[in-house]
Amino acid sequence: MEYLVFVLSLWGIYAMQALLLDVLVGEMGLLALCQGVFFGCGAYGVVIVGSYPGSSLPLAAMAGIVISGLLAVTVGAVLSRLGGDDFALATYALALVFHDAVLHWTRATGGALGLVLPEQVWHRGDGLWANFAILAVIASLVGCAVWLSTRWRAAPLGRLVNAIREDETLTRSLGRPVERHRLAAMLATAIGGGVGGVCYALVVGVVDPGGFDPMASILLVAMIVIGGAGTALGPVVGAGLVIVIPEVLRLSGLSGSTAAHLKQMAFGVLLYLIVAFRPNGLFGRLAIGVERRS
Amino acid sequence: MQLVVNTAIYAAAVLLSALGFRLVYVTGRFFHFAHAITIPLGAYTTWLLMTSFGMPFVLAAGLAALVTGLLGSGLFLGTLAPLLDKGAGPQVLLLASLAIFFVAQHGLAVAFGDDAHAVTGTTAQAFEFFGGRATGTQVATVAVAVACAAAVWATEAYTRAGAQLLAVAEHAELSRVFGIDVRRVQAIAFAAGSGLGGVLGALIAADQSFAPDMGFQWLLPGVVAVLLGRVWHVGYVVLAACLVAALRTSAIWFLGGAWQNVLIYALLFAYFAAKPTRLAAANPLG
Repeated sequence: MEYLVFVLSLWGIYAMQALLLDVLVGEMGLLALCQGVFFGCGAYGVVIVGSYPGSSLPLAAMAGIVISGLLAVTVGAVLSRLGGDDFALATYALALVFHDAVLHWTRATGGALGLVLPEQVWHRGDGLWANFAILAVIASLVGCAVWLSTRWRAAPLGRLVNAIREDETLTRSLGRPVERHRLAAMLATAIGGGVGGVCYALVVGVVDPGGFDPMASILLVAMIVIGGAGTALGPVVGAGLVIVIPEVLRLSGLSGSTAAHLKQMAFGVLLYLIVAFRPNGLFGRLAIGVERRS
Repeated sequence: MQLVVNTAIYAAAVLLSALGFRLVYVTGRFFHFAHAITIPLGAYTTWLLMTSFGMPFVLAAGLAALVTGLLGSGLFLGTLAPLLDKGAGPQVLLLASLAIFFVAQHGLAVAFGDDAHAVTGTTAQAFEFFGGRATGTQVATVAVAVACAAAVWATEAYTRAGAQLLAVAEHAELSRVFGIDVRRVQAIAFAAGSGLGGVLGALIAADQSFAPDMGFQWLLPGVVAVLLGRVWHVGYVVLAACLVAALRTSAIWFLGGAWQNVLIYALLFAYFAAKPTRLAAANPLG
């Protein structure tokens, strides 16, 4: 039962982030491969700030979210001027820098071994109820993300963002600040990542570079691609599939290393099939990548 | 002096990586992440041919380059060209390429295991250059990189095939209108680019241990060199490869070995910060 709650919690954490990331990836058509950075900032932020004497969970959690937001504003000033595969590669470079930085800055991040969430911030106790409580909070956050993405899509701002995706030059010619909207979208996804990171630290109890490597960023985009962009259902279903496939393989009796590789191969095949034969994903409204070849 | 020699050897490896990536990038006009797999594929093929069939290194490396080139071209024709035909944009192709990379890299890991392998039996002879030392394989890496750069430059500058490649790179549709078999040119470019990746993999295998996940570690410095070298000019790409290698040496010297890649990745990010233009839409020879 505890394991089921753990898997459901992970699903919720990734689903919430995928819902917000869909604003950038789906609605704006920008292939953002750096969500793991904001996710990691939230997780490392809550653990590092939480380890200071006298710190508390609200303070540490707020610090993690603020760090994610500040980083988004800083790098967003550069990234908001980019588009197409330049944006994808620049965000991927950012994910690589972040991963290597947390891996080698051992004094602050604990290096490859990572850091343990301090007891003073969150004492899980030994009951299932603590896990249920976190799951309830995560489920509420997913509900909020669904509500936000649905409301936002129906609002004029949602249509404007779609207009940027379809014709950036035309939108700019109408006096709309494209860069500012991109920056706002990056900030929203970064805050989602920060909140997700805080929840991840509470659920797992340990943060290490493996959870926030470039692969994590790619997985989050893959959840949107597989489930489908531009809807609330798509990212949630996509996150569920990407989280569940490894768990099914875990139960198949294969050895740890082989199962891990087969999981990645299965994920690669699924991603290719979706991209090649169902560009709108399983439940999507929008295709990934609207750019036409010159 | 040893630092200069080490920088030259690394610059040669970066140059080989850059030349291979550049060929597939200019003709495909998308970031072909799966190109990274050609490097470990070349290393493992060389190792397999040497250990299972007792081939000498030079023959094994040549065959590895051939196998890698054919596989690279076959993968392009079988998986990515159909998407190009459907009018897929660079982002879709990038995602598809990433998916292929996952399958290939983890397929290699399932086939050969996660442990690092090493090729034995290559020459251990060392050469001395003004006080710096390099092994025979390292000298060969520099020679092969220089020869490949010269060959790519001469092909593009003086041959009909090179002119066709640049024409396809500049405007695929217009090239098709003028009777160039665009798909054939792309397939040859992907074969040559993948073959160069295979050569790099073979040379790395002869010099150090290798593992299935080595691809990105060698591809990304090459990508940085291609971008800093303004993509289209081989001479600038050579200079950019030297710059990347010099920066890596500086990072190791001043910050320690652990930070060598961070600087290269930061440079990649800084490139886009300083030059926010769309590479895919840029006029290649302008």
